[in-house]
Amino acid sequence: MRACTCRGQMPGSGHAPGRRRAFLLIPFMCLLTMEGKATAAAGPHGTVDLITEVTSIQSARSFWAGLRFQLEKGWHIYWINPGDSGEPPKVQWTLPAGFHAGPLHWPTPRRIQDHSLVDYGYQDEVLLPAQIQPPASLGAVHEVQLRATVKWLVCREICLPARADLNLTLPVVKGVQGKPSAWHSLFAKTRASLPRPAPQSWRLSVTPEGQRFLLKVDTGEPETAAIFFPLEPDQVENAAQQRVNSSSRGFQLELQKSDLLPKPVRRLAGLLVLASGQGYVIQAPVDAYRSEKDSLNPSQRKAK
Amino acid sequence: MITRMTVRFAMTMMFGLMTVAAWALQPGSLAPDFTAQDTHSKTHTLAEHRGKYVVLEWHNRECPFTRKHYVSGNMQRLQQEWTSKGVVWFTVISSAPGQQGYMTADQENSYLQEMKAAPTAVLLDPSGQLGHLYGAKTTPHMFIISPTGLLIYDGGIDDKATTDEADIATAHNYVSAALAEALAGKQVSTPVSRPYGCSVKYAH
Repeated sequence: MRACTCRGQMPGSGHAPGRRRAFLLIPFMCLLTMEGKATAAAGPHGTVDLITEVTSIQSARSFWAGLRFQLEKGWHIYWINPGDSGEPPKVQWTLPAGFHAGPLHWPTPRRIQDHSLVDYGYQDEVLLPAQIQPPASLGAVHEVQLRATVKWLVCREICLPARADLNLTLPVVKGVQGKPSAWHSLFAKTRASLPRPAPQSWRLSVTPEGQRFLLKVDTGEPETAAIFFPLEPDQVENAAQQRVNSSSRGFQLELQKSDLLPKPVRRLAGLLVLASGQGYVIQAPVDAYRSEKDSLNPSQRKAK
Repeated sequence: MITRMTVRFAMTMMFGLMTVAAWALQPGSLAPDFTAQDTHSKTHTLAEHRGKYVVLEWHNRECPFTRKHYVSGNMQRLQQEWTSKGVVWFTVISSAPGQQGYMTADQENSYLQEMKAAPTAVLLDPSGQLGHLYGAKTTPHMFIISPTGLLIYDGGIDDKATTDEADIATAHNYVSAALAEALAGKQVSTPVSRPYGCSVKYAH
């Protein structure tokens, strides 16, 4: 069994009049699962654990690790752009010498109504995966410990900050590919569902019109549903309804401009989620700024 | 005289409401007048503070983003610094009864004392009327109104949208920057920013 330290911070509860609510440091129970010697920390209204896709590692071969959040019903954490309120989870890795952690990958979020605001985040269960690259040589090292300090905000009507120090010890097995862990299928499923670059055949344009942006997407097929998640915080009004007008070759989406829109905007960057639930990363040039250079999509460039 | 004042008041209200209806408040536009009660049952209006800079700070003591600025003492320092320079600082609570952050006058007065908070007054807005009039989205959400009654800042308290106290030291505080510029007779260089924090807990 491996030691783990986990703790979370919660504001004091109760409504005693006039009493300052001190921040209580609550020691959280640590759970250990047998396989992969993973640690899980109980935070407010959910748990987070550090998991890997393989049960052992070797030098020079990258592998997937990730933060798996399981949240109580109704509670959510945030996407990389949290929307109108909140803040995305943050991880600080402490890895053995020569190891390098890639960035967290963010699955497609959902829109979450929060009073009059709209946030972007995750409910129930989500895995935020990251690739870990071991060094070219591990010498005589038999096992390595991955450590992650995670800070996140969990919300449902109210928000609570949380923090966990997670660790995971993995054996080093030379020349043998690591066996899939119990989490392999979750990693595979999560990777398959991550947002992809928009297909090159798509043609995208944005026409500013009054207080709206008309995002026109030609996918070649009729599309019945689409939701846009902005990557830039101040381009579109998060809480505004997004109206979809289907066409035989795609759709047009009406987005309300943000009050904070830096004027004028050159392109809209974000995720477009279609009826299938698949998210696509798009960068759509805004009309006034369209030029050969701005068209990121090669087929679009040819078409001009 | 009364007629002129009434007309002016009516126009201010109309202009304010029209602005809200048409689009969120724009810096440079006339800030809508309001009437609100503080925690000592004193009634305040915006109009009576003409000639002074007025700061509005939306507040919810249990929101982790608000806590960041109170537990660290950052908000109290700002309140002390700017009120000592003649700025009127209103902390506004728009949490509805039963919602997080709702406070009775007594509860709020004890909190102010214990936190050594130093606003000019705390305005209680359980109906959310003042919050909706200004379009306050988050706690904190900060507004600055000039001595002539124009909105000169609308946005976040600083540029680090986190709950981490450690970020305060390296953050650019928009409110201090705007007040310093305005008091020095300069144009406010960042009149709008994205407010960050928890949603204001208005009545559903």
